[in-house]
Amino acid sequence: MRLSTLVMALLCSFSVNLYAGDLMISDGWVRAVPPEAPNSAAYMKIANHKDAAVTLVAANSSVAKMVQIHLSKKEGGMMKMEHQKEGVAVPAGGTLELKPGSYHVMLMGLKQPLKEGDQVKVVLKFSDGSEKELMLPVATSDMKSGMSHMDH
Amino acid sequence: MSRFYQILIPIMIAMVTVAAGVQYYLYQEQSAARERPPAPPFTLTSSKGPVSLQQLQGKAVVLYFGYASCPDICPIDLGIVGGALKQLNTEEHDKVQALFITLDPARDNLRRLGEYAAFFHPRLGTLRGTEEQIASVARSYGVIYEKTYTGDDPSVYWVSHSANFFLINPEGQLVATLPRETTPSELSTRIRSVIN
Repeated sequence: MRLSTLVMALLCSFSVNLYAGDLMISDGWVRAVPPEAPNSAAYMKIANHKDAAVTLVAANSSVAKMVQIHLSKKEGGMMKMEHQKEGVAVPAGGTLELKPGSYHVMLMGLKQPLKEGDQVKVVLKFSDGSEKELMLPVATSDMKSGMSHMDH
Repeated sequence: MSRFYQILIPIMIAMVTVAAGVQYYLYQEQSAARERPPAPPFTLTSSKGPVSLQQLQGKAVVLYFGYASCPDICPIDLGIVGGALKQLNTEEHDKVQALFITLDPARDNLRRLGEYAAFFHPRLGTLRGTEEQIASVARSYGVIYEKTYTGDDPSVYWVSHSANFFLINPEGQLVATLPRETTPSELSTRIRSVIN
């Protein structure tokens, strides 16, 4: 009896996750920058549990005048940033990783300093009409560089 | 010949060969070092006045070219320089000067540059110059860069740029151009190899 209740509860919670969280966002952070730096970037992982691709089309944040989705890439011997005007697709059942030196949410024209430990609100907009409001911690790349180096 | 010598002689021959090989390699290295051309000279402006590469002879020099509005690339790369410096001790710090050279002198004044660099390491120095001076130093190091405007506002632009670490030994020779995939540990090892 008690076991079946537990199983039911588990199943329920699992299905709730699937339906409510078909887009799961994890490991989000915003880069801490020097006091007067004009720009920063937000990073995260977006897992798509749907059976159809979804595109991250836009983002906004109260801490920046303008927010764009960018890709850093090497081209012609230079590191470039490319505005992803059409957004970035998260494949069905796949994960899009926004990380330093790759895809990122560009926070342009910061209205306030971003110190380590602050929380920043970022809203992501997707092609299926859904929006995700996130509170992301501000961190230095030091705390995260170990992670990014382990990716190599 | 006793069994003992049958084993010993080949070992002796192998050891002599290896030793000769090592000697030859070291000799090659030394002559390569002697033949290395000096790093391209420069004189730029720091918060304490003009700084020339000539002045820095006797120290290892690490150069990185970037800009202070850089939101994704430069913070990663300067984090690597800062990380490498953190791995050196005080005595080693006195034998090395890491420098962040701006490719965006129009927007990066010395105060802003200094603040940006200090965020990564207190010993990371900064240099700027006129557009022409910067262009000439960048060219001499094979650094390419260009502005990308995001819209109609001419004050809003990104700078695409080569992102390498240049390592100059205390003799003033360019020893290595390291890619941005270099880890802080690799960079600190390379710095140590030229100062010790």
